[in-house]
Amino acid sequence: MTALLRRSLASLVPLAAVTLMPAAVAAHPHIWIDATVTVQVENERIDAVRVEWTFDEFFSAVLLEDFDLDRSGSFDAEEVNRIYEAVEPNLRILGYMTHVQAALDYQKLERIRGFDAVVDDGLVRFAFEAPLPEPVDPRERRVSVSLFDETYYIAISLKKSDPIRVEGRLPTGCDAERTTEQGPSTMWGVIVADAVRVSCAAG
Amino acid sequence: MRSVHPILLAFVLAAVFVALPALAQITGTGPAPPPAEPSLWQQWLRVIAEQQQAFYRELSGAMRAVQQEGALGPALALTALAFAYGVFHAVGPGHGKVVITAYLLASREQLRRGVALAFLAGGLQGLTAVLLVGVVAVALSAPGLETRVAGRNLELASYGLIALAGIWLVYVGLRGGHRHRHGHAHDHAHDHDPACGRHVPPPPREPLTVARAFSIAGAVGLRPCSGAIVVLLFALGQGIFWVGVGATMAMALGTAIAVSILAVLTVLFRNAALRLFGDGGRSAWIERGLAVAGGLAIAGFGVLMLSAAWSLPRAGSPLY
Repeated sequence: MTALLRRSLASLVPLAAVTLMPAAVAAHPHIWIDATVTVQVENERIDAVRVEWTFDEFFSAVLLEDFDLDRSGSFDAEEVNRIYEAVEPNLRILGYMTHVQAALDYQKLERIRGFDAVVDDGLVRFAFEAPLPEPVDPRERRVSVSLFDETYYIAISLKKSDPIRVEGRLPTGCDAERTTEQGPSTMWGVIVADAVRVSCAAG
Repeated sequence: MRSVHPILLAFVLAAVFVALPALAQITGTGPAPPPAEPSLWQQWLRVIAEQQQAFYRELSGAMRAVQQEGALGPALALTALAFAYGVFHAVGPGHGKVVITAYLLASREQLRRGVALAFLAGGLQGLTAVLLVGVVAVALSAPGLETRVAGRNLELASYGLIALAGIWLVYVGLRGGHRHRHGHAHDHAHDHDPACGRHVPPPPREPLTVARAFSIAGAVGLRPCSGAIVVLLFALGQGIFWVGVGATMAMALGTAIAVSILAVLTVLFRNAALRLFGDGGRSAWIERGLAVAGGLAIAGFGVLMLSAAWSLPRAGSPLY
């Protein structure tokens, strides 16, 4: 009995080891973000995305301690500016953790505008708008917006309820829907990445 | 050789898990294909990530409850949550598992030592976080930002030491001296014991292994869990530092248990692999190969993590 048990156990071990090893390569998240994405459409072309990030309570406390210098419980214009100056250069390196793809081409986001930071019920929320380098007609090229931090220090997921909005009017037959990104950039799904995909019915 | 088949099967299955999503990635223009079904592997990762997030979210609520009610019930609930978070935290990627796993593959450590190593590394990670916040934030009353900067410096030191430990393992593996195996335990002070006539040359003694094992655990444990630092600072801000310490140690225990399960699997796997290839000369070569490969993996990991952590902003998070 024990020999059989031992042998069957031993055959499970390599499976477990091989399955666990890839996971062990990356780090793991320490900051969690709930996100909403607004796809902005102008003349039937997607020309920008607006992103809102709500941080977890722990990191919200960190942000408040570091930037709410007058301890008012909210950020005034000067404090928002301070946050922007601190995070924007680093976020730019990370592609604002907002990875836009038109068909197979990456549309690297180069800048953001309208950055704001607010405190809502103890949680800090960032909001900004990122213009696409070139507007994309979703009927010609399928557009996806994947939310992830390539270092996986930060885990971003789309909010449970109503995370996707469209501003302006998408071409008829096109729709923005929730999906996940599992491409090479996420180490084939090791980084769990939520995404928004705009795709159009054939015809 | 009977057990080769299940092993092969396991590798094939694992390869399929990894390859499927890659195939599913081939996308193009035009109408959308139906979304690719996530593989078991991705579903598993997602479950871990979601559980971690759920526990983390509840953790802050539980800490508030302790602060507001100050009763035993909420404190126990918090401890249980922190423990569960620790387990899931470690089931996912990270927490020195690469180092512990590679070391156990590379060495001849047996089950008990493997588990002890995992517990030591996990416990030290929690303890370093408590000491760091206790000294820098509480005793020196430095702001949270400075405390996190100090934590990041410890992290850099830890990765550097891990890289050094890996290089050391490679050196020991290449030299191969201490791997001389004996049928019976004896004291090497007597080099020419007539009881073992073939015993030439005298094998170097093995005090290295214990020191080496502990230095590996120490190198891993020197890196305070940055999640724990944030939890401790949060508790400090709420005026319940000691509750945070309890939660951190519960987290560390959960992490240690999860990592030690991986350690047990690793030791069983290594022993099964060595048994497969018999006890002949080949097995010694495989052991030595494992030592060198494991050492290289650890050194590579240390250098990789060091450069990754180095490139992060001062406070150690990608944001600033």
